[in-house]
Amino acid sequence: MANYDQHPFDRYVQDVMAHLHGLSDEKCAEIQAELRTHLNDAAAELGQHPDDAATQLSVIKRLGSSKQVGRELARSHGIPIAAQGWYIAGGAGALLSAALFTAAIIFLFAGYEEDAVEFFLSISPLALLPVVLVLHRLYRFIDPGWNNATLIVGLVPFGSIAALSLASTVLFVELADVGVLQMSLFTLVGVWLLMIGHLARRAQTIIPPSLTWLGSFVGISWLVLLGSTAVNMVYPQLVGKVSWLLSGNILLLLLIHPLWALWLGSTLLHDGLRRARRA
Amino acid sequence: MSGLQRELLKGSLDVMLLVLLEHEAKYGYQLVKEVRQWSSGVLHLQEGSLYPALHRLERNGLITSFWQERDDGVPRRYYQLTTEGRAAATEKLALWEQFVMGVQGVLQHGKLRPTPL
Repeated sequence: MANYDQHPFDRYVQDVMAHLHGLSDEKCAEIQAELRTHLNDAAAELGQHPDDAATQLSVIKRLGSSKQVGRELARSHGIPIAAQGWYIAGGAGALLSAALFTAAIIFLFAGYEEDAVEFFLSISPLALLPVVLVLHRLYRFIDPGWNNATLIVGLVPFGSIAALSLASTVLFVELADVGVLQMSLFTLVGVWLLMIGHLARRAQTIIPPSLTWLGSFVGISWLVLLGSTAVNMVYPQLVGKVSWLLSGNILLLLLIHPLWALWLGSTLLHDGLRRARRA
Repeated sequence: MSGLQRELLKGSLDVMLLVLLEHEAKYGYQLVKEVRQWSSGVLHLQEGSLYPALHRLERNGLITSFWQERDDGVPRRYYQLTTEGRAAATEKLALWEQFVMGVQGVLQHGKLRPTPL
């Protein structure tokens, strides 16, 4: 069972709701209110203060695991078409991102111009925009504050990087210090990956735990890469000392970022299509 | 509660809910308490399985729900039978009684005339 040390009722209801991500907000609000009333009624019947954590835990035990209750509730409501659309949009976005990243690798090793490689690499986050939106939607009941912060951290870099890339590579707009700006934005990509990984592990649904850990690993790689690049820029005398870190990370990222995007895309797409078949 | 009891309870949950709602609208926790009370404490409903069952019955058009405040001022979701639900309750109850009688008959026969090995 999940960790319910603090505010057990709140955590329990959130965990049940995590499995109902496909339902409309109105329906979810009703279910949330109904569960909450049930929990309070059961606590009141025990004659203890409803805010007492021990009382709340014993009431939760009577309801059963949040995962089971959430899944049974989701089954009893069927699969709304909108939910399938969210999964498919997210899956397609992640797969496109993987494809763009892979194209960049191919262009790099085939010896094409640096601009082409840079274009594919920097446009790749744009394809992740639907993923940011879809995961925010699907995890909307899990820690709303953290989820909203994750959305902002995701939207800012993915949107801005894509805009900068389009401006500099398609429209040939000369932007001063665009590299530094892009680097700071890519840092946020790493932070987003760490934040969404934390949220997904907390929800225990949609993204399997091993994939969330891979995502976090990709996030750390982005941060290390950008950190070592920044050190190179600010302290040129250290170039030799950190270059191994830079090259190692580039190689690692070229391998694991598309792998993560491919895995995430196929997971979401598979779930979406499975739901469509069952509907 | 044993695994067998849990399975039996699961199989009879729909009919129990329909029958309990036959005379008046009730909310979830009220149903849990009534199952416990009327079964003399023998049946302990896994409370988490109650709402999926109620929502499934509602989706199938056998019950409807509405929100109403009680004396404590807290709104609760009440469930009541539809016309189809009323017919289903009668039909399922008859089937259930027939099933119970059948099982009892077999068990009685087994008790009275043990099969020699």
